[in-house]
Amino acid sequence: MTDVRPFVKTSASTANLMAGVIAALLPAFGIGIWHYGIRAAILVGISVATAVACELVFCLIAGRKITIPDYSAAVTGFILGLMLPPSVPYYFPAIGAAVAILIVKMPFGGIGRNWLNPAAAGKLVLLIAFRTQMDNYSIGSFTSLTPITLAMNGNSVNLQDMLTGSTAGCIGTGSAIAILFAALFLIVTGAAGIVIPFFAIFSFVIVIILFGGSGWDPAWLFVQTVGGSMLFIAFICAQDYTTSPVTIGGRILYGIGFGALTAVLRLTVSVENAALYALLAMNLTSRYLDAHTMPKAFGTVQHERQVRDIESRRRANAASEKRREEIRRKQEEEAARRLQTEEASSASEEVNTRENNLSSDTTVLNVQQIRELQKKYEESK
Amino acid sequence: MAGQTFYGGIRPYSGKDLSKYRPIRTVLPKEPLLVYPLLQSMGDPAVPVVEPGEHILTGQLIARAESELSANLHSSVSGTVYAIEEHAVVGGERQKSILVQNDGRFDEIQYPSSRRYSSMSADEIIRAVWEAGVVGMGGAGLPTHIKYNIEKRNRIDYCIANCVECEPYLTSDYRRMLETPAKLINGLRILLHIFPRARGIIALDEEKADLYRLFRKMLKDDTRIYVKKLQSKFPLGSERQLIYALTGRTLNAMMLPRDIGCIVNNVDTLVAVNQAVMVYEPLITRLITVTGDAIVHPQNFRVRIGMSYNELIERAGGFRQRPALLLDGGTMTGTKITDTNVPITKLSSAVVALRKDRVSDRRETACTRCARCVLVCPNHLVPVQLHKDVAAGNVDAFIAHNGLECSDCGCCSYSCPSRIGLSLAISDMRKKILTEQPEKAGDYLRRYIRR
Repeated sequence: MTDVRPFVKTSASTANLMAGVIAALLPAFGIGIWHYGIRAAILVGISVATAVACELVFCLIAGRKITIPDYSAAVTGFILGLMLPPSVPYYFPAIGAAVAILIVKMPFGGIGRNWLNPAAAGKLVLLIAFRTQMDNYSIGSFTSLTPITLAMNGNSVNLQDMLTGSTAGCIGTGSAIAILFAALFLIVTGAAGIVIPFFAIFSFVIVIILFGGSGWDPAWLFVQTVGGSMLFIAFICAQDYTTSPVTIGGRILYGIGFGALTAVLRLTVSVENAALYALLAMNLTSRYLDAHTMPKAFGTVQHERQVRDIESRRRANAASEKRREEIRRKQEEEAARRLQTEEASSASEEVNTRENNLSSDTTVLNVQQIRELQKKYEESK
Repeated sequence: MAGQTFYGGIRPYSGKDLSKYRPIRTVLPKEPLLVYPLLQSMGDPAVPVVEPGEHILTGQLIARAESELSANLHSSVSGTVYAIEEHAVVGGERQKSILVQNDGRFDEIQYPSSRRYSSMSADEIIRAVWEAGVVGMGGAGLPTHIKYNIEKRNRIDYCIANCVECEPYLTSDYRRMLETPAKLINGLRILLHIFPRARGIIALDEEKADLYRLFRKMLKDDTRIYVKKLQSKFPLGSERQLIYALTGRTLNAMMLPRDIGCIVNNVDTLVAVNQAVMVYEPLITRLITVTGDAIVHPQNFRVRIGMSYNELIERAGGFRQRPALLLDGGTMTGTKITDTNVPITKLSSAVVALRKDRVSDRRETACTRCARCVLVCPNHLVPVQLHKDVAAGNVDAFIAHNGLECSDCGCCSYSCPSRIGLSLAISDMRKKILTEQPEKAGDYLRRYIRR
């Protein structure tokens, strides 16, 4: 690959993009530890360790190139850990991470090939297998009801607590401030875009306004958007490179679909995990969206305005042939006059200088030297 | 004020500061043999009109363009023709070349006294350009007279001087414009004389603000030439992107600029046109930037075509240390040189020697579908999908996904965090289709077979 252009490349690599994701989520992790104690740190640690170990074992057994150094397994484990309730037993993250890596990611071909978001799929399996424990968010001083459940039951919710994450909920998804920081970090470093979350939240809010039953109330919309891991999944999980579409049109549709589906599922099926189900459903559509939103190549569609522009110039040319001819002649005469006056100045001297003049700083060889050089050349032949 | 621009594109490290402030230095060949490959443009090689042993003068015609797509070739030194044989050229191939033994005197042929373009007809000007062997020096190397020699000259609305020089490390155009701006302006006026309805545009990028002010001052009273400033971005110098940024007209790979009323010429080409028309001078010198962090004195040279790269590097003080990467051209679109005993041709633009080969250090990893290639592609393609089509060998899918629209700028390869050689794979496939399955390529061949 070395003798092929371009010979310069961006400094970004898969590894440092993935490391960026981990760095972006550290504040969310820290807030989780602050509120739920050291138990949260241990759960996330087990999740990361299991994910990395499973990927290593799979690579060794399948004889593939070891892909640990690109941090993708660590990111999967980290995100899965952040999406777990802090009260689950210690073997839950191990099962979830093992499922994510060994069943969802690696059998499809590893990084870049999986159809489902591994972390989200890992959590889905845990939800199906251990329904009651996964729905139990009570730890320490926090009650077992999350803000979104409270709000859907008609109770009032403290919005300030939702900003700081001082509520019952998953380890890393409770604090709006921490998630918005992560989003900003990813956008500023160029690791992720804004298209998918923007359209996701836009369509989500529209559907909630229309069918949520509380209309425009900003507090209600805020609780709906932040609660139930919606914000976290929209900014972090939905922007997963592998499972989201690559084209701009595909990303817009993906975002709209994800937001609307989340809203519908939240109002009908599941309050707490609507965003997760919606994400996994949309993951399955991303290849299809890609295939049907291929952008039109530059210039293959000649815009009507452009064609009109060219045509009108031509028509105008043909119509006022005589008048234009006259103007042109006048301009040319003027140009010629100017040229004549310029001819005396240095500018036109410059125009008329030869480029291949001998310059003073070079020496011209004498005949003797040339003969010697010639002899040398023939010898070398 | 932010300039106009186009979709996509990248901003690689420019490295122009190394040689930007060095004035152009003229160097003459000291080595006894100069080599002139017969093919120095797009299309067919020229046919030699001299015999070995014949005495020739500087500026004398040594090979004539017999076919339409071919350019005349002139000697850049005086001396005797040594042989006509195969010689190594840039890119590793061997091509039939005329070898001339330099007598060191540089005796010139008798040039007629200078003339005025305003008294010449368009056909006379085009003839003069053809005689001087001028080719497009922006990269493609299409003989320039073909660009001008079209039937409906009234249909051209814009004559664009491409002064953008978006390629990293290259500064020769910048120096040329700074030192001899009148030649460029006069070259553009000659072009406007051929195309009576057109307006001229000098397209500069934001980095060249000093030139922008200079040209604005010089062209204060000119009614036909406009100076425009565009955003600095790679590949702004690409024909299609430049036309779009300036005029809003779009162009696909099937069309030629003249279809939408534009003619685009490089700075070097316009100056060569000026020389050919005003003082009968053939194209025998070239401005070359010798630069990079492995060169002792990076600078801009005016050199004779036919000199070897070896000598040029020597004149720049040689290497500071053995370069890991030696390029003919800039880092984005250049080619690697392995043998430095190759001649400078009309299409050479720079020698870049870098201490560190930053690309081959990194290994290719699996695609993560991060879509950075999609975001930077100036032609609105989906390189990741095209790469998959190439891997599957699916020609029809490749064409359906507009693979033939690729302009080979390399932005996708540049921006790929997994270091996948996207642009290489795509351009290989594109060339294969154009040469082996022309019936599938259809109109895309128009760029390569004119008329």
